[in-house]
Amino acid sequence: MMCWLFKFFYRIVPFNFIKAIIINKHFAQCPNCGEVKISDEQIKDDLKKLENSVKQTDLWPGVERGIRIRKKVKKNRAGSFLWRYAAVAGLLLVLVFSFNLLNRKNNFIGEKVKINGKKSEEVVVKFIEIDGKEARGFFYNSDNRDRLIVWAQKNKED
Amino acid sequence: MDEKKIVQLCLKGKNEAYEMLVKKYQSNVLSIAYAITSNMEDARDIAQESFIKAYKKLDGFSQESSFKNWILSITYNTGIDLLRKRKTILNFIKKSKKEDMDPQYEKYNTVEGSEIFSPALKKLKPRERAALLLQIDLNYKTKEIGKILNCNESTVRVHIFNAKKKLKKILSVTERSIK
Repeated sequence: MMCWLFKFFYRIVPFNFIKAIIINKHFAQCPNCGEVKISDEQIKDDLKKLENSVKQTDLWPGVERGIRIRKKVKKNRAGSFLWRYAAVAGLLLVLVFSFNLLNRKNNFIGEKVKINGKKSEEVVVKFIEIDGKEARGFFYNSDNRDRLIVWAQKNKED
Repeated sequence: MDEKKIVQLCLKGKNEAYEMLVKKYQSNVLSIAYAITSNMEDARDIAQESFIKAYKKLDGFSQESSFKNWILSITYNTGIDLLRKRKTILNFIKKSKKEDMDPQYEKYNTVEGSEIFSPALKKLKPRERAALLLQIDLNYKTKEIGKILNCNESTVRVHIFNAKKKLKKILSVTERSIK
């Protein structure tokens, strides 16, 4: 018969789809090659043994524990992330606030300036503007007690 | 209760519903895990890990397909991953020439320490054993086996044919030696 040829081809062919064709067209039908493989019944004994031993096992307690632990870890991770976000947000807020405070001082907005150290005479500059844009202000006390010099300067970024 | 409803209850966080699914399919999952590892301890670990993974990914599960096929596929992949990791560890140990120091490492060859499968069945490749189990014990068709093992029908046919051929060869050699 040609069985040896099919066996040879089956061994050398690297592709499973060709092997599957050889199985279907020859090995599954040929009475001689049918003896090459074991029958399902012969394997069933082993599988029956496996079936009996797995029936006694209960996986649920372990699975439940695993699910609970994963949920806890997830929750803890989410909590620690929240803390980090809160800390970063707080720091940013402090930075923005202090920057704003410093900036405001430079511009003298709403600040009371004493003239020649006299408490009674005070000048309040609310806002300084050059060409429609906010500008910086500087006060100079001159030798003349009745005179106050206000220097206005454009912001550098403008 | 309908399986879809059970899955929906699980998604709402009802652990009792998931318990029903675990109890329904645990023997199938354990069998396939054992077919891959040939070791009951490992099989139990893989089966538990697979159910936990499935619970985590449950929102991505397409409810048109069967939960059984899905969980078996997860189990197969988890088992193969475990074997692959162990192979890497073994190779590393062998390279470091430490294999003689601790004989315990030998048990990672997975065929040791089992009494359920006959020596002949243990000599098959994990993929071949899994395909055989799915076909003979769980009565799956080649197409479905392909989906679970993540390969095409032809490959499944070849795995099953090779497995049966190897078994026949081993058994006939054993019979001859007994005579």
